[in-house]
Amino acid sequence: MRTSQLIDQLGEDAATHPPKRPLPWALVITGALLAGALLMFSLFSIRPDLSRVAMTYGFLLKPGVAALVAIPALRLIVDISHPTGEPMRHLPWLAVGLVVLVLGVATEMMLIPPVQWSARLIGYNPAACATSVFLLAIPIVAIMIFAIRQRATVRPVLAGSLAGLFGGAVATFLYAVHCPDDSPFFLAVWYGLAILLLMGIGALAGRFFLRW
Amino acid sequence: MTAPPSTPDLDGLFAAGLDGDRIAYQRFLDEVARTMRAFLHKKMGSDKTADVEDVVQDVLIAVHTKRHSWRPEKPVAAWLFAIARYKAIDHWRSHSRHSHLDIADFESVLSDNQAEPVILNYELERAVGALSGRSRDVVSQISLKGQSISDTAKHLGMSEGAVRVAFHRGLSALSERFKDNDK
Repeated sequence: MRTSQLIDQLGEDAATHPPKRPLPWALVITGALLAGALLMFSLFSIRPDLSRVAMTYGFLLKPGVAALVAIPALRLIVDISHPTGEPMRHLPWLAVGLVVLVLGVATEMMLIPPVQWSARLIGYNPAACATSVFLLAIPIVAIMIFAIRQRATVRPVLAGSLAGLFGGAVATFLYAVHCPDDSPFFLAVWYGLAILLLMGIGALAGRFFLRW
Repeated sequence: MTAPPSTPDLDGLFAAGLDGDRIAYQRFLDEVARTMRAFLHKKMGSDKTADVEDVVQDVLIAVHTKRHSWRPEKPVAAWLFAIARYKAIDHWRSHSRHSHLDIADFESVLSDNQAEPVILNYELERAVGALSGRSRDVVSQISLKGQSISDTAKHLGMSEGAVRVAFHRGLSALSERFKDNDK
């Protein structure tokens, strides 16, 4: 087909079909958080000793690091969803969460004698924890990928893995009120494992669903 | 093609086009095609004219289907360039994988069948098979398998608008091909 014909057809299409309107981010994020919270509280109970541990560094580190990862991840997602976005500019902010996590691990190493390290690392049920975070994150990741897809990213794989990172961070934040393991070791390894897996799956989903 | 003004106001044309001014929109697309063609010729070399035109059309369709992703506070040129680079890389990747598909082969197939007065099924299937990737999938889903536009969009993971565009594009390519064949 000649390009001039294509232009005629596109003009016709534009005259009959108004441009799409992607769901606003505020709505997308509310939806994602609601979906995660609903799933969380229908599947898992709040840990009974929450009020007692609420002010300990081991507990606080979980929602804290999660929020410090989720917020820049969200900023990156909003930027990467646009063809002219410059997500790399905000990438360093992700390091803040990582630094806080490392500080937490260091604190734990100073306070806990080395003989207990492996017990603290394994915790009560690492497999259940990693699986739960993974499952909680899936609907959030799906919603984020849907929202990115409505827009126009020119980095589909990275965008997908960021959706995975955001979903994992929000799931970590939520699951913290259930999870009985408060060691930073546990957080870094098992939550980290779930989040890495989510980023991998997000990248794969980006490869398939975010290209256009 | 009418001679475009020397310094076309891309932003103004596009904004008017988004507001429903069809003439402005088509002039905008014309201008995009002209700019892209010149740009890609420089990048890919003048021996790749067919490739360049493919990418130009891909870019036009992408610009059209994603026209909602332009932010008024950003210059249209930057947005265009981002989309063009994305599409050119995409084209180059898929093209290096399917480089054995050549339009010349397809044309020789058709000229062999010139005596045939009607379009046979296998000819149609072969012609559809020789369309470019997106159009081929869409036309075969809709015309050969009889699926609806919305089902095709779901099946191929495309938007309905994109399916419609690819379908029109494929059908015109087919009709032009068979018109030539009848002569």
